Amino acid sequence: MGMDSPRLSGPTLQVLGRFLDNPSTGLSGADIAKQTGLASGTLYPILMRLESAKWLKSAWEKIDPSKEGRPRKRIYEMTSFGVLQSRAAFALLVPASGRLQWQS
Amino acid sequence: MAILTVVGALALSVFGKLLADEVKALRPKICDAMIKCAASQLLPFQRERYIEQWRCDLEEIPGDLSKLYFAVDLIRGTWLARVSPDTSQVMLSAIENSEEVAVRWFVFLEIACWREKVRLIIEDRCCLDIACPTFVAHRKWYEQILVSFAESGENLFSEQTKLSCGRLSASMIAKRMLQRVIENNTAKISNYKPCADYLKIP
Repeated sequence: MGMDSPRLSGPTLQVLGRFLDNPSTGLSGADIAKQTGLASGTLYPILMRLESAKWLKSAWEKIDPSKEGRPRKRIYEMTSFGVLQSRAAFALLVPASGRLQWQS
Repeated sequence: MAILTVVGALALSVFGKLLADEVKALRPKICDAMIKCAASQLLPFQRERYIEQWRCDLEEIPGDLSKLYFAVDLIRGTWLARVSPDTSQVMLSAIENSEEVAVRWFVFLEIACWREKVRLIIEDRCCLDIACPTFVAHRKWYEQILVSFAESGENLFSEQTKLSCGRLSASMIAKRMLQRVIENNTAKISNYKPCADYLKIP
């Protein structure tokens, strides 16, 4: 089932961190890539996993592409379930030499 | 030797410029082909969505080389996702999840055992505006099934919407998806036996 917790790798935590900074803000894949510096081949499978686990949800931007002169973006938002789960995951992490690591 | 070096440098600069121009001109086509190649690794119902999403995200990447890297890395990522049992399971789960959820509701209602009747009712009562003495009691559950598709099966729903090219209403698409769920889960559904005769077609 898709409700299983996703594997929380370093890049996954980076993505979750971006959303937790401002959970109500929607971000496109390109925005997340810019902010995290993750390559597309790493980022999109992570987004797929998080969306499948219901930590993130996505929807097409509500614009008229012909009026805006650009294609519509797919906007990702963190769900309330995702916020809870992410905060719980981050709570298990402790800073160690500037990096996060799992609590023993 | 010096002349050869100068000629070589000139040739390199001319051909290098030509090659760069060629790549620049062909870059959109190359990237698009790569995006399609990456999407081909996904499940059929995911492809159209991700092709559109990646095309849009690609436009936000500055520079031709960065765009090429974005497209190449997508192929790597989706290929790895495909071969990784962890991720491939996840890639399957959107459609599976929506069907599972719907089937559970059917079972909960004990409607599942009358799948042919349910199908007829859904066909006849798609809009649910007319009071249906037998089905109206379960209307909220029917609505929840539709909500489940809107949420859990959003990818599938989008795919169906696009395939219909706006010709079908949302309720018609939902009806087709429900039919598909019933058809795909005949074995699961048939395990449940009717316990009451409260589901009659008016």
